[in-house]
Amino acid sequence: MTFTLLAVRALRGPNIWSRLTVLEAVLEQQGKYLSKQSLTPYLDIKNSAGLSLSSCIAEHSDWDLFASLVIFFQQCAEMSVSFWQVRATSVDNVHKVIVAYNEEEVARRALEIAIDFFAALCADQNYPLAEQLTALRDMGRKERLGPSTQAIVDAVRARNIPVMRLNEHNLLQCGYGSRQAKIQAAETDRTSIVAENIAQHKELSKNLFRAVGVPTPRGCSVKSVEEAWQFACQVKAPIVIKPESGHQGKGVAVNLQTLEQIQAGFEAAAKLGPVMVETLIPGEDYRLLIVGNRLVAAARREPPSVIGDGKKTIAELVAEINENPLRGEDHATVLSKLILDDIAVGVLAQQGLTVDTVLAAKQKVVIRANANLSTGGSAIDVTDSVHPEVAARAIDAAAVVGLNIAGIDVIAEDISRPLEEQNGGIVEVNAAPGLRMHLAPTAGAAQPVGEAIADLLFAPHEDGRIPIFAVTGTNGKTTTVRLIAHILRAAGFYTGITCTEGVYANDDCIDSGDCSGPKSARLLLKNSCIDAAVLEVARGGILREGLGFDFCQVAVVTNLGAGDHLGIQGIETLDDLARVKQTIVSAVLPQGAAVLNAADPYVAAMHAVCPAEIIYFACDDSTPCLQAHLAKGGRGVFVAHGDVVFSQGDKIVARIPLRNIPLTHQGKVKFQVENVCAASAAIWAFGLNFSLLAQGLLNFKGDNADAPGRFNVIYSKEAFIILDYGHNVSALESIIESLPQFPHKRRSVVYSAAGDRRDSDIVAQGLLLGNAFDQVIIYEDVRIMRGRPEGEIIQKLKQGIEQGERVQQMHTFYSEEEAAIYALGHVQAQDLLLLQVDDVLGISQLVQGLLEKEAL
Amino acid sequence: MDIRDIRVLHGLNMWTYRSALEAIVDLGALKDAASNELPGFNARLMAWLPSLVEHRCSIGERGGFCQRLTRGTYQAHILEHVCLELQSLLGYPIGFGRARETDEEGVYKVIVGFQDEQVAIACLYRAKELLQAAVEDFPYDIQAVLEELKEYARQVGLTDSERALIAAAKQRNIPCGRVEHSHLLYFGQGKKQKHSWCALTDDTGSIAYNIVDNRELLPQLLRSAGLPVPEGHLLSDRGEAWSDAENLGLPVVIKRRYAAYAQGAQLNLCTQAAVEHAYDLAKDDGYSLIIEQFVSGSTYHLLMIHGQLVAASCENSSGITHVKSLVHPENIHYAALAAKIVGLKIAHIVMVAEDIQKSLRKQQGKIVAMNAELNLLYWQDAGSDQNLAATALMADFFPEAQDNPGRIPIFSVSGLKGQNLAARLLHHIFLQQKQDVGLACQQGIWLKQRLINPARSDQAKAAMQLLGNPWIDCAILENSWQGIQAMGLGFERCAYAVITDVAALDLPEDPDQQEYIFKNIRSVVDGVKTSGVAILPAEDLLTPALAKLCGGQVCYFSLTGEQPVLQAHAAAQGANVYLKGHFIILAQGQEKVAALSVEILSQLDEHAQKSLLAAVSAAWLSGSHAEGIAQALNSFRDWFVQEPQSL
Repeated sequence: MTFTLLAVRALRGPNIWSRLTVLEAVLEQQGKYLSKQSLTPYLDIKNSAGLSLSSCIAEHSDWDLFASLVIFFQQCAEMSVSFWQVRATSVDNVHKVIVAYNEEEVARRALEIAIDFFAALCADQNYPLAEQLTALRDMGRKERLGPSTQAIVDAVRARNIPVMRLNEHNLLQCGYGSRQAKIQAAETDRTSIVAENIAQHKELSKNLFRAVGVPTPRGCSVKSVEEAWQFACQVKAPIVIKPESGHQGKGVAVNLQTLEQIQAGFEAAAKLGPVMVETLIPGEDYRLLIVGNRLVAAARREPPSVIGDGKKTIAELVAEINENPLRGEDHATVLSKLILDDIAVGVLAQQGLTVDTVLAAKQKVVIRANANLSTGGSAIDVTDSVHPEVAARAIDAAAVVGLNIAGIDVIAEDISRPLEEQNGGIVEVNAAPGLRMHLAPTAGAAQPVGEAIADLLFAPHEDGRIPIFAVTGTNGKTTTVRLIAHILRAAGFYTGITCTEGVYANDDCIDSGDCSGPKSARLLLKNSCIDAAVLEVARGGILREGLGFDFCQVAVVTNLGAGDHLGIQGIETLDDLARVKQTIVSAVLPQGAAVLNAADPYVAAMHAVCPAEIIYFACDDSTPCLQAHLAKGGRGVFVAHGDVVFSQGDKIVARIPLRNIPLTHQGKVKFQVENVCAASAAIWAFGLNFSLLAQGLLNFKGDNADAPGRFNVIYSKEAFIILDYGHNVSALESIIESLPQFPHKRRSVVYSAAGDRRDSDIVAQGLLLGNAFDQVIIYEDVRIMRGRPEGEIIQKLKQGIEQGERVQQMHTFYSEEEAAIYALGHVQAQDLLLLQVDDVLGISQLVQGLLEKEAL
Repeated sequence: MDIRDIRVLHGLNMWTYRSALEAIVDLGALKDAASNELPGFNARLMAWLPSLVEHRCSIGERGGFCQRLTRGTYQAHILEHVCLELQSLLGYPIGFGRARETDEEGVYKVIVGFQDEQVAIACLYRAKELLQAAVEDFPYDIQAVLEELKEYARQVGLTDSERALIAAAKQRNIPCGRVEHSHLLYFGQGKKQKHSWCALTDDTGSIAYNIVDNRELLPQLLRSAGLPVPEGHLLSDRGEAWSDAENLGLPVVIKRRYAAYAQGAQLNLCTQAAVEHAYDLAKDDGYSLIIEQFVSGSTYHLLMIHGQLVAASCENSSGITHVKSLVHPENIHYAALAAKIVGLKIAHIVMVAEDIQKSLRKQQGKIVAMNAELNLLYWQDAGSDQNLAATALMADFFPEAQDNPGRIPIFSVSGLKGQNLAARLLHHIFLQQKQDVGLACQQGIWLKQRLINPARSDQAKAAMQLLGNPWIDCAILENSWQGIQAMGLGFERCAYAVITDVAALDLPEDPDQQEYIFKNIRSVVDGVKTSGVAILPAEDLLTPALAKLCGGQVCYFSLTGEQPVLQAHAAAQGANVYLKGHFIILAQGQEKVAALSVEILSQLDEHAQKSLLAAVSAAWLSGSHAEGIAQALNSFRDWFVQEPQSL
């Protein structure tokens, strides 16, 4: 059988399937049942852990086999993934295949390979699977982080600190907002550029070493043979002559003692640029890794060499070594291939050898002078043998240069003895040192260098996290977000919010429009100014891409009510919707809390997925779920005797009178009371003190400035005008319920419904309007039609309104603005006008303008 | 005329507080050639270097030196002034110069201050050449020479920004300089040190540095924080250049993806030809390119330090105008955010706007670039000759309004014989008190208790090495008079001058030689800060003269409390330290503050006892407790280490 890909999306954060990043592919199955026989030629293909493809055959259905192969292919590309799932959909032969990934592009390619592979099997054609998987592995090596960076990332993640990639290079952000640290390879954002510049100037570095008593070979730059000779006479010891900016051992002459030797050495080096001389330090080449002020690893480095067996030539021996799959072409793997280039040929020539020389058994031949890993050198871990005095000098060398992470090159006969005793010395300090030799030494134990760097970035008590408040629900999200943010700001947090109106950092508008998705959340969490983030999380984003954060401190679910957007993206029922929205509840940090509406059964049930404490809230203190929770000693927020009450078990911790919370209109507007309870519970969960909370609630007027389009009540010329964004059955019910609190004789409403809702929902909204208002003004606007033909929304609304018992008059407009202008122009004393605003900022401004002109 | 030898005197020396070259110049045949006796000499000299008219010389007014020329002055003196003038023309204004006869006829010492050793030496040789040409009436292409010197200074000397930093440091009397002819500049001593490299500071992170030079990533980061930046993106293909430009809206800018501000950017491109030409030019260098909207308006340079706007200027055709007080608060807020977003504590932010007094938002203004590496010329104040940015950076490095910003206490220990023991004793006392102390003495250099350099090096270098050590909070320097003469002291000011012995007995008989020794030793006392103390042996021959030179307090010590100098000093509420029986008495005015018992006292000769008293005085006056001093002395074991001969 074959699979056709209908849709695929990458869920880049915690999602309804998993906390892992996954690809969600919708596939259609066609054709005959696949014979397992046809897989036979491919069964021996192995993944990077050595497991063969035959291990996938055990899967029961073709769907399972398909999914497990996509995972297996990724494993062949050295990705450590294992999670997969297959889900049926409402269409018989269409399933969703969910597979975890590390590198999105690799997973997408693995999916394509699987589809092609099955197509070939069905057509009885050969498929070049092995070649494709090799290409996939190479793609993976290119896409993923290098081993040094990956080790740091793994260690940071092991401390439960999130890591984000900032560009296609190795620039990474660890942590969120103002608590973040950036790293790039083994460089942190606290690595000083001045220190790096010093490290690049070898002469200057050595001068600084001397100033703090770090032994280093004497040396200087020389302009002539005479100067070099003079130096040799001064030091009365063999010297080294080398080009100042040489590398890979080019032009280096060692152990020079006579004038003739020095002359020859100088002339050779001078061909390559300015020349420097140094006293010769005999000994082996060591690399010490200093992180902070600690020695975390040390390795003895050996130049690449081959050992003969009496039969093979040098070229053959090299080829044999290079067959080791751990040896890659560059820095992407833990070991690098040996290279037989001109330099190697030159080194061999100096020993009287060529690549075709057959070496005697056990004859060891060095094929390169330098021990760099990237040219095939090897490294033997010696961390435990380093003498404390040697470690102390290496730490001094890093410190005097000013590097927080440094690779120190030491030459010594014996690293377990002080340098001073054996004429050893530190020759160089390197910024952004490679970690490969410590992570995967050729011999000896690997060292936890990633962990050491993670600990340098974040002190033991730090987690790199700013408080994140995630808010979801059918109604009240934006008001709750704004209220929480308002209180945090008053408490001194530089607070970022994402909501349906945009992204804000304190007063700065970063983006406008509907920003309740994961992209906006990620944008905010990258911002290094932000001390706290309050994120509105809409269902669409969760389904499309998963969450934009890994964990939150507090998750708030305001309500599900009758739901909204049902029938879209495969979310048919309230159960489906709850499963989507509870994603934020399952993302609460263990030390955080979920704030749940006790009165909404779907929301209350989300406690089952919460890995942390629950705080329930409810307007009515008799709500059974709340009572049960309190009885078990849990925390709850509810209303009693005109106060918002904070209770832990049967103990009342604090009370804030509703009359001191203007948003609730003395407690008269029930849904705002609920929003206040939700926001207050979130703040309580976070641990801010009650006086700051009370102050914040007192200052939040809920007007156009605090929460535009969120039940803004205006009293003008003896009439009430209420602006609200509500656009679903639940919201409308809540609002209508609160209207008697604002004395009036005649009620009008301006309203429309969004075209992407089910017909039945639109009719239901119409019915509510018809039952609750004397005058109903409905409109249609291109912005909200969402694919419906012109006039259809109005028609469906009318269908409901006409069944209403209260409605007297009905007007129709084809522009939100015109409808609003008409309604506002006909407001009379003792009226109440509910103005449903879709273009929140536009209509708010319109009303504001009229107010200023005193036309209202 | 021949320059026989040049000594580089670092820091305080017998001539001046600051570093200077001391050249031994043999005038040879010119030894009697006074300026007024050489026909046309003065005219030629003044034609080549008309700005010599500014030299006030000993006359003390503009044109002073010209008057000396007219009246007739000797070539060594002229050499001094010409060398100073050449340095000045290169941008190194130096105030100090001297010319002095030596014992040898026709041989002079010419002393000229310097900021950059290598540049000053080059100027000295050129000055000699110029004088010879003037004397012998040879043609001399002064412009070519200046150009060549300028080029040399560009190669080996400091950049304008670095010089501005040095000037700002000097203005606040902060010790500063170059480390080993490199672009690493130090400000302050020991633990109080800060560094810069090409106007980057210790605090600048390399990741932040790389981010601001990445013109693809920087605007992305700034935009993600809601800051106004021009729209732009990577430009991959020549064929797309023009359509990209039209999409962005004309005019556009094409620039390199990785580059510092103002490097390789081509602005205001309006036509297809211009855009494609710009593409070709930039692509020729093999760089990947960015195309971006061009922002019209004036260019403003804001310098932010730790979220504060410290300087702002507007760059226009007439030069630079300072606009710090005009910048709209919202623009300051944007600049502070931008710096924080990329992680720079010190950042140069370039804004283009019609008017900086209005918010960028209100006028399509943008942040077009940022810099970590500062070009301080943007904030040079032509009027006051101050660099506002450099001044602000120094204020950031050394914020307190203290007397001695950036300085750690220096104990300069000198004398004829006893200075070595006193220095080592003092070191031992401080070590016992867990101070992070450094010692430079004849036996080598100690960092805390570790001997880091056993070799005997010259004392000015040792002092500089020690003061450059980032881990010490006080320094003890043994300074023999010979060492001072040879290399200077290596510092300009000290908190404590500790003179162990300057008695007649140990001085040579020759009065000239005596004078010479005095001149060198006095520089230690000259260096005492007003808040500092000179510790002097009460009964020694040179003490009264030294006491007069001290700008701070004096403390006397003596083997006997009966000494009249001591008694007079006590009467004037001064501090004295003296022996009484087996006790060392510490006295402030008439009050005996403490009596220390030191077991070994009776076994020491008078010289060693004096060293001991000097060390005790210095430790006590710098705040050590008497008890701790006594304990330390009783645990000192090296009383009889052989001292190398001092005289």
